[in-house]
Amino acid sequence: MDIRRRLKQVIVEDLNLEEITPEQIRDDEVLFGEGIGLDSLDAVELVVVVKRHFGVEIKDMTEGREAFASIDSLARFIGERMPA
Amino acid sequence: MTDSRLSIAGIGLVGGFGQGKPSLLDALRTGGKPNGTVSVASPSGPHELSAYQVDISGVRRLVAPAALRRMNRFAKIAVLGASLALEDAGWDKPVKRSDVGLVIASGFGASKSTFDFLDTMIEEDGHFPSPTLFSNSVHSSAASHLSIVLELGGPCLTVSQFEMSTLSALLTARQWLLEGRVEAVLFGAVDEICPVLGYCYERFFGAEASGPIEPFAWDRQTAVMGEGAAFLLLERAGDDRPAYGRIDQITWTRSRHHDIPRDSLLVLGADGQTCYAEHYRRLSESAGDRVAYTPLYGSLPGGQAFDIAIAATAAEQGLGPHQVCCVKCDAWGNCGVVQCHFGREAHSPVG
Amino acid sequence: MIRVNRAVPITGLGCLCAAGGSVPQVAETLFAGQRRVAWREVRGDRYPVFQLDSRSVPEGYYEGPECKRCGRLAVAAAREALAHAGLVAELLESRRVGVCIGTTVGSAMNNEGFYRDFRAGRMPDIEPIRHYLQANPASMVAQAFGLTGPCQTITNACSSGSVAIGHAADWVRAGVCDVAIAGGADMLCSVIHAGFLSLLITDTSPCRPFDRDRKGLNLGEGAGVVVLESEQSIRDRDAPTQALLSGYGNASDAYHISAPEPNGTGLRRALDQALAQAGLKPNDIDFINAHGTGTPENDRVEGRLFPEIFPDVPFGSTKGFTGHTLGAAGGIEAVITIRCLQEKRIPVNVGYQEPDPEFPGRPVLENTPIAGRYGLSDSVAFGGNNAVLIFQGQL
Repeated sequence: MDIRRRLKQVIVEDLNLEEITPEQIRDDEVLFGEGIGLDSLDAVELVVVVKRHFGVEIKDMTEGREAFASIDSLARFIGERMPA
Repeated sequence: MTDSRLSIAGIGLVGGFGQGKPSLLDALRTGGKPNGTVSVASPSGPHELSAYQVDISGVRRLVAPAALRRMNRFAKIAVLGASLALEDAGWDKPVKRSDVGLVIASGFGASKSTFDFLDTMIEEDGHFPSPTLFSNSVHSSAASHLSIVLELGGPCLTVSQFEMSTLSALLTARQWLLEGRVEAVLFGAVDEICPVLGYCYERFFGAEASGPIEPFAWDRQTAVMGEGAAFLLLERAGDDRPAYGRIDQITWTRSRHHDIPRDSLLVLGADGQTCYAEHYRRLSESAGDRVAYTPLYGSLPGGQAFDIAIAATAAEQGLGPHQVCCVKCDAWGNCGVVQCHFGREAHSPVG
Repeated sequence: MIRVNRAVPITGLGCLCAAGGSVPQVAETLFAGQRRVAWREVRGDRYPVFQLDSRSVPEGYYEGPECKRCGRLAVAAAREALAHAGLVAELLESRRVGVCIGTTVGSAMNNEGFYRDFRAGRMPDIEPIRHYLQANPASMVAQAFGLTGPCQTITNACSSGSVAIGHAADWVRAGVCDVAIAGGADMLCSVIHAGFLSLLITDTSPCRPFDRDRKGLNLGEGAGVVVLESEQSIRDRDAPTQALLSGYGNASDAYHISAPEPNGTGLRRALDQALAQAGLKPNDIDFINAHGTGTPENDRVEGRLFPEIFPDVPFGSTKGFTGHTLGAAGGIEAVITIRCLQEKRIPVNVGYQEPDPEFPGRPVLENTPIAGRYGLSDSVAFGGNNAVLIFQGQL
């Protein structure tokens, strides 16, 4: 499955976002603050989500901050690091 | 002379009997019973243990989805109870005050969330422990969620003292009010059933864990696990007539040292556990009339708050007397005594 | 608004943690600037922890069930505090003595082995549950000394120890008991460690409170306990007073279940309350023992608030010596604060090197003399509770 599609699916499921479906999330959707409205606890939960579903580790939030800007940026980050 | 009495301005009850006053009155009239079962494993195979369980579906109308999505069930039960107490007292939600204290008494705390977090430490070789589940696993998680949802910026306390949790926490709630630290305290006892608790009941008590609860059968184990929340909105006893009446005295004592005033109805926290039976039996001997409300809500450590709330509601509805003494004991012979004077005519200035 | 209330005397102190097995040992370690860092491996990575060393653990600590260790730490600290106060058994028997202990691990049903077996359907023996039901830290202290006054185990996360002392003082002031043993106790626990690691708020180096490059906290363990006593009880036995608890503040952020409110609104309210109860102004405070965990968020809040509310008041965190001891922190830091008043100096904020441009607060860079009148200790809890204690030295 395409990384973006899978990412949207696991974000909705694992972060328990009941009011939104994966299909409603745009690729350029801002994840934190506005947009989906995730917060600091979601950020560290997202680290676990990314590791579990894509095998990509984010060591700290300095690394994570840029990657988490949007679905696009996170998908790119994952694509560059995903184990073959 | 300082008036150390407290007024009960609102009550919120959630348990196996349902939610709120109508459900409670129904249970008072018909006698309570377990409303569900919990599946437990046993050496002879799986079976169902009776339980008093909360239906938390109503919390959706009280909390925005954004706050609800990461709230554990323990906190949801607390939100239900707290909201009912505030509604009962005619308070708006969110409260948005910093001069209102929040006190939670819980025997087992957010145990279910602790086990959920342990699941993530065990599954998939523990590579993906969940920070959200960890944040919810601390005992104070219900208080945190409540303070956020209700916008309560005042002092906050979570007490974990098993059967003495309610009494111990009430001592602090009273101090906060008397010292002017707060103008009101939202006080609640909250306990939750989880699969491990069911397993423990099965292993400790076997077939006897199916009840029914017989509080005065001192020699028999008849406890049935329960969960729920009992919230009281407390204020200093002042010039206004309190909605339900007053808590006059809060005393930590030993069961062998206390005599119950004979003009008070003794409300025993006896819940079918034989380990406390001797203490309750001894207290009963010096009392006049006695009752136990535990068959309405089950066996749970925070039960004393339920007893106070139920007795107050009964008095308000003309189903019970005004002078009431609620007593809860623990396995070490400690005894929590809450002397109450219910009814609107309970207003009488001190001095 | 809280009224100015009578200060409550403190007659005994007890403490054990990575910095030492007694109050004098802890003080010696702090003022020598000595960091005793141990290392624990978790999934191939090494993390600094502040654990009790073999000389500091109380007798019998490793015997019996692990779930009782928090209680044993509380008992050991209480023993030192009661001895310091001169409250021998006969004196305790003739008084109503309450116990108020803050903890995190001590109330958690964290037995991983039991739960693994349960999950796997192996139907484990319930002996661990029996032990858990007897492991309530406040009850363990009461039973160890035969006390029959009120007991309260407080689970307010990281502010528990401070809250316990504040509430115990309320009890003594109200006459609920003549003496109260209060503080906090917590042990290092792999489950809790995994939880904090998952939050990405730990440092793989020894923590650096308030430093520009700080990465997070290190966990620690221990217990810190004070004996609070009524004036009547003290007069009856002609006992010396170590310090007074003058003010206690408790307020909530009502913001987030794991992150502190960035403007420190709850902490500000708790500070105001404590000062109001003590009848003090900010410039009456001689020093602050900060919560200072070493996390970016916590230290930023305090680093902004302290210079604003308490300009020119020296502050520092002692967690560089003790680690973050969770429910025990408020108790351990209360003891340290009182000891600082007695020695009229505060220890260096160890671990700090570079100032953070995001806030003006700069902790003390060396052992610093202070006047010894009033010391303030604050604790900022996971989940948003803030507790502040103000102690008055006996000059």
